[in-house]
Amino acid sequence: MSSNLWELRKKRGMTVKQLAAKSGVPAKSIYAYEAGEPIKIADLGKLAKVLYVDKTEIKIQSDPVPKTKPEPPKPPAKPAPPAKPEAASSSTSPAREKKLPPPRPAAEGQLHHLRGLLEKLGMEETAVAAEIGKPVNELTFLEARTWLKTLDGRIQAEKPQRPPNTRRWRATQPEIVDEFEANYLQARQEAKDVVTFTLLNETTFSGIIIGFSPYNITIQQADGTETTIQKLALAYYATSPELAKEAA
Amino acid sequence: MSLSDHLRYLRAQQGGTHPVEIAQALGLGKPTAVNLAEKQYRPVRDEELVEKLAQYYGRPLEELQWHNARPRKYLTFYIARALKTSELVTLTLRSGQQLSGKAAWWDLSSVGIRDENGRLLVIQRHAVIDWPGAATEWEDT
Repeated sequence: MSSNLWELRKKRGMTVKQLAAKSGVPAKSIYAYEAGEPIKIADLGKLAKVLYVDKTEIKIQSDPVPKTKPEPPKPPAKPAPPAKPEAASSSTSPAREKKLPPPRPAAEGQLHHLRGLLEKLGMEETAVAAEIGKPVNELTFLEARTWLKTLDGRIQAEKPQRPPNTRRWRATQPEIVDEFEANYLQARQEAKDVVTFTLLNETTFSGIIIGFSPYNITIQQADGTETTIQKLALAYYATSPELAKEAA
Repeated sequence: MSLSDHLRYLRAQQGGTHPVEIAQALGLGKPTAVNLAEKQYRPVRDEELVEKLAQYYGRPLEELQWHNARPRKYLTFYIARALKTSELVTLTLRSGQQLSGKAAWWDLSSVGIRDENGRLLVIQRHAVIDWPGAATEWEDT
């Protein structure tokens, strides 16, 4: 006699997922088979093997699973809250007064930072205490946070502003600026100055710059010859000493 | 001259071998380490790689180590300090020539120094082989 798939599965104490994992039949298909869809012959053998039954013992088309779950009982109706006396809504009632936790004191780091800012501003701690209304040590966490913002704002306001259209002073790192050499080459090219280039092997070339890139410089020598110098082969270059003297 | 610049110089001297070929010759799967060794501003920490590169280029290991102790970053420190203090800088080039003057500027590929005649010399960083206190004064942080 054949049985429904879901019956055999439950008999073995397996969930659909477990059956799917063991048999290799997708859980989605098992759900469909248990709902009444005919079981594919290929899947039937796999399922029978896992359920330790013969293929013929599984109904090709299962009956739908009976709904055994009883309807959940309705939650009991909440008793209506007692009518609040008018006086109870007043915040003055001691019974309903919430006990607030004591304010969190300022963190050590906050105070350290605060003192650092005061030092930057050249302010005495006692003078600030008068402004705050209490000693710095007694500030709460939130008060310290507010005062840190306030003092930081004052420092920013006191900072001298960089003139417009000027570059920020660059730090030692990172070395990503290559404008100085480019500016110098541009100026020499525009002025048509004669520049002398000395290579690593001490060979020299003189001429006016007619073009350059980060990797090479092209010059026109006195006889009209155009020469491109690879920067990797270059040691140094300069304008002729006469030009320097004139400039001086 | 830093090891990075020296390696580029050696590779150029050899005819511009591709880093992939060098990596293969060194028994490396990728050319990343070879590329980085040629580009980084700080000393190459991989001593085994330095040794392999010395063998590949047929140079004494001491030569590469000497260059490795003079990375580009230390030259930057030297010039940056000279710019602040207006001290005279002396740069020794690969040819052995020494150039002195006051630092005017520095950038990615070159250093500008003004000699005693007021002439601006634009010295390529890769041509600078040594400078006072090159390998001793600076701490790599």
